[in-house]
Amino acid sequence: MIRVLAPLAFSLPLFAALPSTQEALALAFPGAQFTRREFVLSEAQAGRTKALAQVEVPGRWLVAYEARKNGTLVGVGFFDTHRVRTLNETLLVALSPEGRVLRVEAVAFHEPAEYMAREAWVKQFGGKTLDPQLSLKGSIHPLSGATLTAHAMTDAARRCLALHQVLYREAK
Amino acid sequence: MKSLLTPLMCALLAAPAFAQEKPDTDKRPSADQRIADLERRLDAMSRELESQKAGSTMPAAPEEGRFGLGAGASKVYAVPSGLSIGGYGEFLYEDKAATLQNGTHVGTDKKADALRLVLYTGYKFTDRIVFNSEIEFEHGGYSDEHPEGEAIVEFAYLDFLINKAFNVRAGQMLVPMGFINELHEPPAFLGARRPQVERTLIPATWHENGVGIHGDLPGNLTYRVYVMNGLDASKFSGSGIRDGRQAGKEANAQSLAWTGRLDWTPLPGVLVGGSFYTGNSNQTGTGAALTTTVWDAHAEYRAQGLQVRGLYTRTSNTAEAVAALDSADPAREVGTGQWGGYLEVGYDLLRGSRQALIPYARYERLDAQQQVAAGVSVDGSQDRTLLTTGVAYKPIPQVAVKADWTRDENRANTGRNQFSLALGYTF
Repeated sequence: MIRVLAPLAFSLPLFAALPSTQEALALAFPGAQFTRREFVLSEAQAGRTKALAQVEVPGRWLVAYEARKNGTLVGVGFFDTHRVRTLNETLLVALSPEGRVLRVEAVAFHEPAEYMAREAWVKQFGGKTLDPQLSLKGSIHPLSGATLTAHAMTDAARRCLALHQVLYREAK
Repeated sequence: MKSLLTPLMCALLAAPAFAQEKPDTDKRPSADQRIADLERRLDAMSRELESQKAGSTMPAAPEEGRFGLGAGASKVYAVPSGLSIGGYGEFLYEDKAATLQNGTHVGTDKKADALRLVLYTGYKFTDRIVFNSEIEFEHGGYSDEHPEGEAIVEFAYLDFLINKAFNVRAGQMLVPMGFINELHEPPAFLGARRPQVERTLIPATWHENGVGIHGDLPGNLTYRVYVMNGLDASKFSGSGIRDGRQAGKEANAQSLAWTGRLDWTPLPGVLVGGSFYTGNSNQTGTGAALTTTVWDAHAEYRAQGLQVRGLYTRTSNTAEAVAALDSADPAREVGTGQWGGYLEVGYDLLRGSRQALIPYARYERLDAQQQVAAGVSVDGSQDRTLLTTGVAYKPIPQVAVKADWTRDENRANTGRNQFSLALGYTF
């Protein structure tokens, strides 16, 4: 019996299994083709992003992954790395061309697994836009037992939405 | 001599290198080639920087096509192993009323306490084996001059991660009951002090040695089930089972106990669950079983700045076994039936700010001697009603300053109100 169950158990997803960066992009934009695009924010763009996001924007250099289907832009993904407690996590924040959150997916989480946000909680970000309600006191419900994770994820969503606004929507 | 030789050696070693880099106008790359080479180098460096920054391997060449979802590409945790450090602490000032509920003047009692300093340390040996620990210094720590303090390991366990639904945990672990026992960082709960119900009936912080399983189940359920060394009934008293905790210190494990919890999160911000503990607290190895059973039902709602939390708990100890204890044994006074519960409400007034200012109120009822063994006189002071009202201010989510007033009454009319001020932090 154990010969059967042991390989089966270990073949199931781990408690804290995370998708790779490529898998996360594919989950967010199924069937899309991707273009990696680098940006270096000007002082004015960085200031504008911070003002829109109401959170810090560390660094000026960043990468966006543009998703296209049949040549049409269907969305943009940003990988946002930030500190949770004392260690970092990296999220893919996938956005629609109109500036709505399509999906948030953790691809790296260095804190203990019990601080990770559950999938059902993360799904709250779907469809959210950059407005004052995108906060733990607004339309995002707090996460019991992982307050710092909840704050970090909400800040990341705001930061990526603001970057998208500045780099894609206002730059047109 | 050495100082003279060093530049000479450097010059000799460098000469061939310079010779190799002598400009060759015939083979000099064009400006376009050099720009292309620089672009290639810059691209490689930026990808390397991106991977370093993210702590994860970034997409290798996304322009080349669509990404598959092959299991072979999956990975778990970007960093293969590592040390994790965290902690929390709290300072507490207490000012107890000079007069008891019945009007008896007992004088003031004011204390300033370095209540807790806690360090979490974790280490991930592999993707599947993770260590986690909490070392706590209470009341300023322990010394020969101040033995009232404490330095203690609250938990130290190994997690064997197998899959999402089934994982094994072993070592010294927190009993998975109620709200506070597992989650007691000061910014995470309202009140300068923890709820009395979760100090008396669910005796937080309650930690014992054992082994168990935990995981997530379909339908937004999480569970934990452990078998642990049981309580020691010889330390029970009229105030409850709290002193029966063995804290993993050469714990007497003649009798084991089962404990567990199940939580359901139907919606973000909503939590409904229950937990239990049951085991023989007779650790003498002789005599009848004295089974202690504790259970609770709890619920929490958090949204739009509002937080509401409620908990109801009951405890029973086998009446016949308690009655059989020596009449002079203080353990015989333990309640064979105990109950309690509380309801707590807070609302964040600073909705548009990253800071938080939360007025709160908590109402508690508990009776640690609702039922007692035959011949034991009930102590009315164990039948308590507490109302705590106060305010918490959080300049950032990790730091909280809390001030509250507690009206503490009991059936013996010996209750004593108090003002409490706490400073807490977590990182």
